[in-house]
Amino acid sequence: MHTEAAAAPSRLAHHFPDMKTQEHAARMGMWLFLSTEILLFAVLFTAYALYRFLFPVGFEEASRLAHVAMGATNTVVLITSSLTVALAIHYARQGENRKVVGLLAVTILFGVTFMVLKGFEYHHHWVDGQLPGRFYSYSGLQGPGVSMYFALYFLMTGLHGLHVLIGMGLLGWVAWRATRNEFGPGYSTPVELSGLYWHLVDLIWIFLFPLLYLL
Amino acid sequence: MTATTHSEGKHLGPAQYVMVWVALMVLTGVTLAVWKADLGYSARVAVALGVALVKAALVAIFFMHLWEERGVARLTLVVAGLLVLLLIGLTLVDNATRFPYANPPYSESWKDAPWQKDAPPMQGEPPPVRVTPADRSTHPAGHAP
Amino acid sequence: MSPSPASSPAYQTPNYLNAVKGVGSWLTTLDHKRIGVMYLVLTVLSFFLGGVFALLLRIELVTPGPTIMDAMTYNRMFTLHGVIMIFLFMIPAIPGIFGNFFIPLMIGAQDVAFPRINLLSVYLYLAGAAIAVWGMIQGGTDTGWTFYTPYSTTTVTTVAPVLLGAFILGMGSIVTGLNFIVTVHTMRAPGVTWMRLPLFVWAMYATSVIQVLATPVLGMTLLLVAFERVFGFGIFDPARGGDPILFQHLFWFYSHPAVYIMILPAMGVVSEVVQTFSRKNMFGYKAVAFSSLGIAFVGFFVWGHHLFTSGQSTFASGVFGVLSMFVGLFTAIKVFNWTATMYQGAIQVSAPFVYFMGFLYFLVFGGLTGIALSTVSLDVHWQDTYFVVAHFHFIMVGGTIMAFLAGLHYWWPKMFGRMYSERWALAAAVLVIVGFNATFIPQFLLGNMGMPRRYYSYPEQFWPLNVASTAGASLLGLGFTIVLVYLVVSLVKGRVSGPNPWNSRGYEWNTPSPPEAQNFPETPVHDRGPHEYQDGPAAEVKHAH
Repeated sequence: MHTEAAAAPSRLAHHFPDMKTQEHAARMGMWLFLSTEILLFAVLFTAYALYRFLFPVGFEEASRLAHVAMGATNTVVLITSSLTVALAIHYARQGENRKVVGLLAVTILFGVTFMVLKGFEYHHHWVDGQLPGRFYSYSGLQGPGVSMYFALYFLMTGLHGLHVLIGMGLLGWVAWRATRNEFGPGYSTPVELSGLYWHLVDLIWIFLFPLLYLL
Repeated sequence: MTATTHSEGKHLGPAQYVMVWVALMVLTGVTLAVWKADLGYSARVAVALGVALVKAALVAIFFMHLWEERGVARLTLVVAGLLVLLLIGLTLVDNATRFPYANPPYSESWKDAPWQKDAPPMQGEPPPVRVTPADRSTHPAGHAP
Repeated sequence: MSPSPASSPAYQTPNYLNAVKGVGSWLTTLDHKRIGVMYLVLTVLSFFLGGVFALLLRIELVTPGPTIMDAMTYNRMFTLHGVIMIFLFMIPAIPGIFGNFFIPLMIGAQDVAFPRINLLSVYLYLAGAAIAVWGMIQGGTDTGWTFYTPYSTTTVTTVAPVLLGAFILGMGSIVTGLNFIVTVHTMRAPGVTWMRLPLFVWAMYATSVIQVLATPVLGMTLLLVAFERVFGFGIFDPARGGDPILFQHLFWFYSHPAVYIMILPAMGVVSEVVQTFSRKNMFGYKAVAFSSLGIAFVGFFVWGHHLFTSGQSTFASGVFGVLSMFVGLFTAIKVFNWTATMYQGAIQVSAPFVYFMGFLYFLVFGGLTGIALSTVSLDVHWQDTYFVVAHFHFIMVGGTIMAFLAGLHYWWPKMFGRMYSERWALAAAVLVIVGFNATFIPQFLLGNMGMPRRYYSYPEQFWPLNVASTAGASLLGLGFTIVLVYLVVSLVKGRVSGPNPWNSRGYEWNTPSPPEAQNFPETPVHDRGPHEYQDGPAAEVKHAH
C-alpha cells in the first residue's frame, strides 16, 4: 500500500483537479473511442445487411461453406477470454498484481488460439478457392452473391482479427506493467481501458459469428 | 478514495463474472442448437440475432461495467448502436423500394418482390445459385459479368 | 510565428508565446494554445493552396474552350481544390484553431483533457496532408473530392494515397472531437454550469459529437474503395453483385454531417461575436445552444438528399427530402435569435461585426437555396449544376469563412496581443463580401440555366456570366491576400491591444492577452454566465466611428 500511496499523486496530470476526475475523463474518452470502433464496423455490417437482402439464397448457401466448428470454438474462446479480462480488472482494483499477470497471460493465449483457428479457416477457404470477388474460383457453389459473401467474410473477420492483434498487444503491455506491481485500489485505469477494448472485440465477434456462420 | 465515480456497493465480484460467463455459454449453445435443428429460415435469423443482442447486452452491462458507469458511457453506446441501425435501416429502405434494375444484376428485387409488380420483365433468367459439391469440374466459372 | 522583440510592453510580460523558445518547443508542445496556433498556420497555408487552385479553375473557365490547361489537368485541379479545402481547411480549421485555443480558456480549464492526444492530432493532420498531397502530385486524382464509385475504382489516376490521406486526416478529426467532448464534460471550472457554457463551446460540443460518430464511417468507406482498387473484391462493382450507390450512402452518411462539422463551429463563433459587438447577451440562449445539438442530430438523417438522381428510390428520396427541411428549422432558430440579439443593442461596427453581417446574409441566402434543393422535384433540375456549387459555396465560403474571419479578427488581440489595422480590415471585409457575391451569384444563374458542375468547357451563351464569376473570384482572392498581409504585419507593428480591447465579457477575456503559458494561476470560479452585459456595472460602450 505504501508504494501506491506514493505513486498516486505523481500520476495526476497538472490540468486535472484530482485523480477521480482524471480517471473519469480517461474512461469517457475510451467509451467514445469504442463508439468510433462500432461505427467503423457499421460500414461492413451495412454492406452485409444490404447484400444479404439482395442475395438471400447466395448468402445462405455460401454461409454453409463456413467452418462452423471452428467458428463456434472461437466464440467460446473469445467469451472465456472476456471473463479472464474481467477478472483481471477485478484483481487489479484489489492490487493483486500477480493474479492480474496470470489472467492476462491466459487471455493473450486465448487470443493466440483464436488467431490460429482463424488462420486454419482462412487456409481452408484459400485452398478451396472460396475467396472474395474476382478471386472466387470454387466450382462447388456458383451464383449471384456468393463471391460477395466471401468478400464480406474476409473483410469483417480480417478487420476483427486486426483488432484482436491490437488488443493482445495492449493486454501484453498492461501485463508487463502489472509485473512491476503498478496497479492497486488507487490506480487501475490502464487495465480497465485495455479490458474495455478487449470486451468490444468480443462484442463484435458475438455478432459476426451468427451472421457469417449460422444464417 | 471514498467517493469514486462508481459507487462501491455495485462492484461485481468473480462469482458474478463467472455467472455471466455461464449465461453466455448457455446462450451460445442455444444458438448452435437452433441452428442444428433447422427450424426454418426466419426462426433461425430471429433466434440468432436475438441471442446475439442478449449476449452483447450481457457483455456490455457486466463485463464492461456499464452497470456501475455514469450516464455518458451508456449514452455513448446507445447512440452508437442507434446510428448503426439508422445507417443500415435507411440504406435498406432505399434498396428495397428501388426501381428493380437500379439494384445489382440478378439480385432478389429483380425477381418477384411484391412492390415491383409494375416493373418490366427482365431479359433472360438469372443464373441460379448452384450447389454441386460432388461434381466440381462441370460448372462454368463465375456468373455472367 | 515568433514575434519580434518589439519595444512594446506586451511581449515583455510572460505569455504562452515567449514562455519557451525554439522550434523544438513548438513541435513538442502540449499547450492547447500553441497547438491552436500551429493549426492556424497549417490550415491557413492549406486555404491559400486551395485558393490558388480555385483561381486557376476560374481562369480556365474564362473562355468556353481550353484556356490555360487541358481537360485532365482541370479534373485534377478541382479534385485538389475540393480535397484541400474540405479535408485540410474546412473541417479542421475552426475546431483546430479556435476550439483548441478557447475551449479551455472559456470553461476555466488549464488544458484540454488529453494534451498528448491533442498534439497527436496535429501530426495526424500533417501526415494525412503529406500523403494526400504527395498522392495528388504523383498521380493527380481526378475523381472529385467525393470519390464516387465506380469511377474512383476504375480511373487510371492514382487514388489510393489520397484515400489513405483522407483516412488519416479523419483520425485526426476524431481525436480532436473526442478530446473536446471529454474536456467539456470533465473540466469545467466551478460555476461553469451547462447553462452557462459559452455558445461557442456548445457549438463545438455538437460538432465534436458528429466528428466522433460519423468520421469512422468515412474512414472505413474510403478504405473499402482503396481495397476495391487494389484487390477488386467487388463490394461496389455491379459485375460482381455490388451496388455503387452503397458507396454514396456510406460516403454521405459521413459527409453530410461533415457539412455541419464545417458550419456549426462557425455558428458558435458568430454567437460570441454578435453578443460582444451588440453588447447584449444572447436572446434565447437555450434555443441557440440546443439548436446546435438539434442540427447535429437531424444532420444524421438527411444524407440521402445527395442521391436524388443517383438511382435511389423515389420513396427514399421523398423521406430524405422532408427530413432535410428540418435542418432549416434549427438554423432559422439561430438566425432569428442572432437578429433579436442585435435589436436595441449598442452595436459597434467593427471588422468582426461586418463579417458577422456578411455571414448572416450568406447563411440565409445559402440556406434558403438549400431548402429549395431538398425539394426532390426541383433538385432533379438542379442536381450537379452550378446551382448546387453556388449553394454550398454560400454556406461553406459565405458562412464558414466569414465566421472564420470574424473569429480571427475578434480573437486576434486575444491570441497575439496586437491590434490589426482597422481601416484595412474594413476595406478587406467589404472587398471579400462584394467579391464573394460577384463570384457565386452568377453561378446560381448559370446552374439554373443548366450548366453542369465539373465541366471543362461550356456553350457560348454561358460565357458572360462565367467571366463575371471569375472577376468576382479575383476580388475575393485579393481580399483574402490583404487580410493575410495586414494580420502578419500587425504581429510586428500592430499596436498593443491590452487584455480586452473589445470590452467583451466572454469568459475567455478574463485572462491576459496573450494568455500566459499556464491559463489560470488558480482555478477561476464563475458566479454568472458569459456576456452578461445588462446586469452588473454599466457597460462601457466604445463606438468605433
